[in-house]
Amino acid sequence: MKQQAAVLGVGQTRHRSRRADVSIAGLCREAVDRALDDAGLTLADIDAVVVGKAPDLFEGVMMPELYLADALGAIGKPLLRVHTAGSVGGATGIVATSLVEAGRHHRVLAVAF
Amino acid sequence: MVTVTDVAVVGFAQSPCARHSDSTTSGVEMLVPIFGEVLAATGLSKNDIGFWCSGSSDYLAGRAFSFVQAVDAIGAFPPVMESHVEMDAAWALYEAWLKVLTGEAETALAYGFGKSSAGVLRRVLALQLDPYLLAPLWPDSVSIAALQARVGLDAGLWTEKEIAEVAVRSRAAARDNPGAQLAGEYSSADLLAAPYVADPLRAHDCAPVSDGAAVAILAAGDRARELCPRPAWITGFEHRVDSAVLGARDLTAAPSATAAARAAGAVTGTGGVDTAELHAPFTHQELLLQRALGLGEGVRVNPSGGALCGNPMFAAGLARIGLAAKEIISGRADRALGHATSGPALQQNLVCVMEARS
Repeated sequence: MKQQAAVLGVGQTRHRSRRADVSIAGLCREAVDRALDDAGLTLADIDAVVVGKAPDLFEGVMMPELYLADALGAIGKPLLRVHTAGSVGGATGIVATSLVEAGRHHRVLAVAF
Repeated sequence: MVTVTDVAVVGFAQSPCARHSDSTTSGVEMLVPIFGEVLAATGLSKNDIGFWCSGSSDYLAGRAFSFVQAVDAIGAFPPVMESHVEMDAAWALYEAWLKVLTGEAETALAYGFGKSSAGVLRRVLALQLDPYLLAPLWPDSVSIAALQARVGLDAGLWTEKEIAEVAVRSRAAARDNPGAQLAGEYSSADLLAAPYVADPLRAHDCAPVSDGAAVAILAAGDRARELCPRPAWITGFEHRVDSAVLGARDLTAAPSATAAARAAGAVTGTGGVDTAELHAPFTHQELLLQRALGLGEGVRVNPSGGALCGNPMFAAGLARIGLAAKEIISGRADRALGHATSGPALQQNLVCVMEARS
């Protein structure tokens, strides 16, 4: 039987047509920090990061998980980048869940932007 | 649930690496033949595959959601369970491995493809960098690797002759690899006579620009034994990432590669590996990685010729794992390591350790 996975916390940014007040990393951290607060965790408690983003042509940054590694506290950790076109938001959750269900990782941060 | 050490690579195929393939950027033309090859070798039909996962890049294809077209190579009716990473397909193999571990799929197929000839690869890769502070300067991938080579040169970690010898060894080994783009007998003296393309790197120090594709099949337990007489059992599969800030890390080391290898038991596991396929698109990186992964003198490195003899983007890392698996499947190795890298100057690294069992 596979390991059970639970959601510990969630966070979103305020959605607006234009967020000129944050960089891409800042936008992600707004949601990440809210999710960590909700879960009562810090980045140090996270052992793997899954980034979902499709298409990366939107922001003009190829494979933005590489640039985001520092901001997402992923240095020294496993980092995966999901891209399943329009379904990427859901797929990010599914992949993050697989990481836990497979018993390989314990607390996974899933970020989609 | 499947035990973590009970999943094996049971099949692998690669398309020939070419400077210009006849394929479109969809990858379909490169994938259909190798899907056929790997399914025939294992006796599986496409309906037997429980999970499909691919690795590729929209930037290489010049099209958003480009991987969706590649699904044409599968013939996905009835619908299949499928996913995609915008990374080298080595990471798609990792996701497939997880799926098999959860028990949701008994077999999984990972594939990767890239038509680098569609654009100017080294400039496309500049877009991987920090979009605010670095990318606007357009530091191309070869120049960044050259910076890394220079730091190592100045630190006395390698010489121009030593890195030229990596190219000589790789091209000689690649004569036995029908998929290789570059192969043959060269002398380091001849290679060193060529001008720099990005000081201190010469053409031979850089992987060729390649179009290509690769595919690998995973299965667990008895299923693996049915499909392959000598499966390459995965005993460790780990990946880590380092900082994107090039000035913030020691470019002569690859801490993420070291950490991944340690976690995967590459060196500390029983007896260590006897063979390693390293994803090093630049000659100095092969030397750097050998040290970072703790590989001793006796380890056979890149019997395929490595990425220096054929570097299909988003498939080359999967190909390293698949070729290492083939060394085990063929009986030429008992314990092998496949390594994959992503990002500038070895920022992200993945290690897969496999073994034969009686």
